[in-house]
Amino acid sequence: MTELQFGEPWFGIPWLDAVLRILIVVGVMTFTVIYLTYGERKVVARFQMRLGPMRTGPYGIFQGIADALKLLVKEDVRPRAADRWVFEFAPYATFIPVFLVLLVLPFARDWGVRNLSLGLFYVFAILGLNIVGILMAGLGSGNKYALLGGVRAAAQMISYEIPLVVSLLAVAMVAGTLDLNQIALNQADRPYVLLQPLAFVIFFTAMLSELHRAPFDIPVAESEIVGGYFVEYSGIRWSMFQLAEYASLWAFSIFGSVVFLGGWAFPMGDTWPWPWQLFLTFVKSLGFILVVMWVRATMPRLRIDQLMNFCWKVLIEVSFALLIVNGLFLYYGWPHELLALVNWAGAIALLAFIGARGARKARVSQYVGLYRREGVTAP
Amino acid sequence: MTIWPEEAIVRHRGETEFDFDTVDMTVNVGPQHPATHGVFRMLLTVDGEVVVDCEPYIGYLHRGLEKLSENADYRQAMGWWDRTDYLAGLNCEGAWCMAVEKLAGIEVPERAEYIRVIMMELSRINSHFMFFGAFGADVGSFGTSFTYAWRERERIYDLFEEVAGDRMFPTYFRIGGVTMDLPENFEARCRWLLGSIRQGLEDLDGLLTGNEVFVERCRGLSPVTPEQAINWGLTGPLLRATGIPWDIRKVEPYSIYDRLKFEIPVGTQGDVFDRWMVRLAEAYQSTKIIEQCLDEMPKKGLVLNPNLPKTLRIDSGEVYFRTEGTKGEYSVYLMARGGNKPYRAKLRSPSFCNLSALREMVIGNYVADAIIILGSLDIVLGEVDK
Amino acid sequence: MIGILKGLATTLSTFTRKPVTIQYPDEKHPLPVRQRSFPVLVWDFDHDEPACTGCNVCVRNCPVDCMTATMMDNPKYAEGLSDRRKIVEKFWIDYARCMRCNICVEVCPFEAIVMDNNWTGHERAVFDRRDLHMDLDDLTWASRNGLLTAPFRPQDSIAYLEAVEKGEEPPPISFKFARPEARQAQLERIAKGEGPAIRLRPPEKPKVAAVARAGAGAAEAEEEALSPKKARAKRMKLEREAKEYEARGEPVPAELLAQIARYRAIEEGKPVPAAAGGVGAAAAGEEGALSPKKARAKRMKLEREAKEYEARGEPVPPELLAQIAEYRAIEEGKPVPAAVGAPAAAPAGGAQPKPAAAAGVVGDPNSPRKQRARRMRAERAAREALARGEPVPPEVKAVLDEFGISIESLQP
Repeated sequence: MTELQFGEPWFGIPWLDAVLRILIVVGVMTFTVIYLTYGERKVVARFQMRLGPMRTGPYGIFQGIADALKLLVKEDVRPRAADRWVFEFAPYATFIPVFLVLLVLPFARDWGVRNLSLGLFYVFAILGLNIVGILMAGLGSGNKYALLGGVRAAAQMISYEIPLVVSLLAVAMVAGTLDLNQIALNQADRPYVLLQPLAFVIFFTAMLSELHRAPFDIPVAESEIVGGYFVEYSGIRWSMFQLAEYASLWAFSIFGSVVFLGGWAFPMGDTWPWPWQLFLTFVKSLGFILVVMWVRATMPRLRIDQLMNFCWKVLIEVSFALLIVNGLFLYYGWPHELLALVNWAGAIALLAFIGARGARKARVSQYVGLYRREGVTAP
Repeated sequence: MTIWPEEAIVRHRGETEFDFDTVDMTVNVGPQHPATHGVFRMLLTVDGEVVVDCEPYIGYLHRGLEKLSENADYRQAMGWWDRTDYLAGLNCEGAWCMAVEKLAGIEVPERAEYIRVIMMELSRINSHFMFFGAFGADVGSFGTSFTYAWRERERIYDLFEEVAGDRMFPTYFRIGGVTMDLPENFEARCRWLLGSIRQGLEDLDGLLTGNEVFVERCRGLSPVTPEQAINWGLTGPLLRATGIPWDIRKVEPYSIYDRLKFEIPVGTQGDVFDRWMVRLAEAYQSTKIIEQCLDEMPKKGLVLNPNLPKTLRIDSGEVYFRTEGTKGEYSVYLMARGGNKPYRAKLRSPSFCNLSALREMVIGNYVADAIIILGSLDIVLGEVDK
Repeated sequence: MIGILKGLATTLSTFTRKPVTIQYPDEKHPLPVRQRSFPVLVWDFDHDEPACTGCNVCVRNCPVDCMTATMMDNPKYAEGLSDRRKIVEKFWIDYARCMRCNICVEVCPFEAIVMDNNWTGHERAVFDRRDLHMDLDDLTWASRNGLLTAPFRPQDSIAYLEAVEKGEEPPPISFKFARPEARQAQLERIAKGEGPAIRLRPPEKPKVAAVARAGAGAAEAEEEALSPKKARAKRMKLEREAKEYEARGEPVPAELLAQIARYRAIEEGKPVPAAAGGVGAAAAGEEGALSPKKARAKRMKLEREAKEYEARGEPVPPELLAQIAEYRAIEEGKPVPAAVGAPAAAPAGGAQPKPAAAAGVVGDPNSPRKQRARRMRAERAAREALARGEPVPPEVKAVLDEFGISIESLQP
């Protein structure tokens, strides 16, 4: 068991050490999730030129706590048509995998709960369990809207697992290890986003989809099937779904920053002490979260078939191509710089291709500003 | 209340691309729903994700406008008519006033005409911005388009408050002119507002028009040919998106529109994207109309016909007055048989007629697209239900 | 991709702009003068009363029938503190119905109702819809407490423009009596001890006697043409005046009672008793007290009746013509021809003996109604006495005997 632990167990007692670490991580997670709900509202509000919560506490900082309290005292509604045990266990089945992911993430050098040498593999294996919880919620609610939402969500998440995993495998090939702590250490001089930008783009897109975030949030499309798979949940159960969403957002941000942005190690983490490392982790994950919220505030959502088309016809091909190219370069020992170049070319090509898909129907960029022109007819 | 008789509804049973024996599911997009722009109920029969039938139910906002108008004289009824298309109340008031003026042969002073056109065009912009906001929310950009649109709408409402006294239901027009003159700083305020509106249009344009995802969602969705549009009775931006340059302000000009220079934007395919573009361009053209009015308006003058009788009595006559409302042809049929109250007042509301084409447009598309198509029709239930 | 990037750039640019939120209720955006919230009644600070007279024009013109108003005689007019003869007694507006269309403000002839253009007018959230029925106190509260600093009427703008167009003087500022200056003046008056209202005239005595005498005398000729309804109306008016005499503790003049009796006779279709002896004198006396305006009014009334005769194709009675000539003479200030018409026009049907009108009793004590009431009272009293097992009191017995009812028939 020693290879699992980060150095010496605290107090010399392994299980006590594990429990304490878990408590710390859970405490930080709870605090972070509550403040993420508040932070999202403020950030999205600023993108929309308004203020967000301002009245609960100065500048509304107690809004998250107020929300949590309110949800705690709400009536727990259970629909009669709901399949009882499936309905009740679905929130837990959604939330627990997320929490399990947090157990292997390194927050600072040699600091996490436990270090698995198969850390990367463990993460995306566990994430698949989320889908079970969502399907349970959708089916167990006894509501057509929930069913629609649950089925859409399941299809979406299963599909986007593949590019996610493959892009991470590409990085693992370059890093040469599946151990998350080691991956972070390997990036002490340059983060993998410079070496594998295409993998980063694919990862980012697939991550948005796994998190049910815009532009892939059709399962929770508020304006259509109000709520999707959690429409029948109220009070604390609903808050568990939200908790799962924000916790997985946070977990993914830390994961993404560890794998691509250098985690605690870049720029100077391996030589400087642990406060700097924690700070780096914090800043990078915050940056990730901000970008995710920025995208959410801007992009309209894709329809379910367009989403699936995009995954199966674009992302999977590109990610497999990435895997094959990576494999060729590494097997034949071709220089890493060339690999990086090829990756950059691939990333730009992918982004351009996403843009050019609109050109299939019409050249999009010419529409912008069209309304202002005289003699205007939309071609 | 159903609009179509039962036998006209065709139900598919098990006719899918695969050889499954599927059962259609009925999804009720109910009267309380964030997407339906008002109290409107749509019963979608869905085969998987494809809509095979759509039954709209209206009447949740019926207030008996036409009957009430028979019991109120011409000035009292104004307050009800600007609650039909409540997003563009002044357009409705304008239609009513102009219909009565035509019937009674009352002249409106020049300055009042200009004021009316400015207010009506501002209402048109107001309504189109509501469309931009709500449509963006339907398409999924989580309220950003909403707040951009609302910023401009709030500023327009502030201007209405300064001029007429009330934001949404100004009751500003009277038979024979307007109630009161514009305040002194109106021109400066209005020009500033036009600048702000143009900035808002830029924001919305940049946010959504070029966005590939938006184009993917909207382009090619429910295209309408000109023949279909005319057969279904569509008017307004829906008709113009199909390519027919039919705008009543140009075809049968009323008020002073024959003196103003503006263009009519048209689309090509009549699909949802074209409707968005047409409305954007129309809002821009409205800003140009307002600018022209501000430049050409007589600086001083009467705003209410001074020779009006204390109580307007019309002995006989009928008139059908067409105006270009924000959503299409907003027309008032007015019949008088003596006395100070109309004998019959009927509203031909554009949303009602456009809504009747919803079923044709929606069948065969996905559920998510059904919501978007409904949004692109831009109905307002006050008009539909009267 | 360009479009998506442009979208992201737009959002980033709005991120850096100042938010447009106004944080209500800490900040409120200033309301323009023309803002309309709900109608409130205006308080006249010069006369310390509501400016509304209860004329009901706004009530009639309201599209949604949200108002009710009643009118009463203004006691301050008699006291000489106000120029309004009538004042509003009760006024209700149902704010839940009001659609704030401004029509009531436009049609009010007295500048008495205005839209509250302050935030207090808007902040009217209540828990019970019935709390939105506002009565007179609620409606005058805003004005009385000086909240209406800038009342606005749409006509201000129109009238100003019309005056400018015609090249005339712009009309005076409206709501002069309700503006803060008037309120300030009132506060100063109160501070000086002069009372809240400006005294316009000394208090006046009521004109009841003259009216009664005028009514009792010269309008004799028209009595024959009176319909029962009109006679009833006139009788009730005179009875109200008689009540005022009683309220003051004075004896009711005999002519008044006589006239009331005659109107009652007309109303009930009985032959009209002859005018009490003082007709000629009253007519002469009353004609001497007639002002030219009143004489003109009476003359025109009689001329209208003469026209009716002609329309019917009948000859106009000479007494009518003589009375018309009389009134014309008074109106034009010439000497009055002899009141020959008055005694000659003694109504046909002769005098009917009527019992003396006891002081304090109004009307004919022998009318069928009053007799029926007496009989029923007596019967009731007898029944109650018998139920209690006591003997019937002698007064009750007398009344029952008068009507010929035996006590045995009343046994329970």
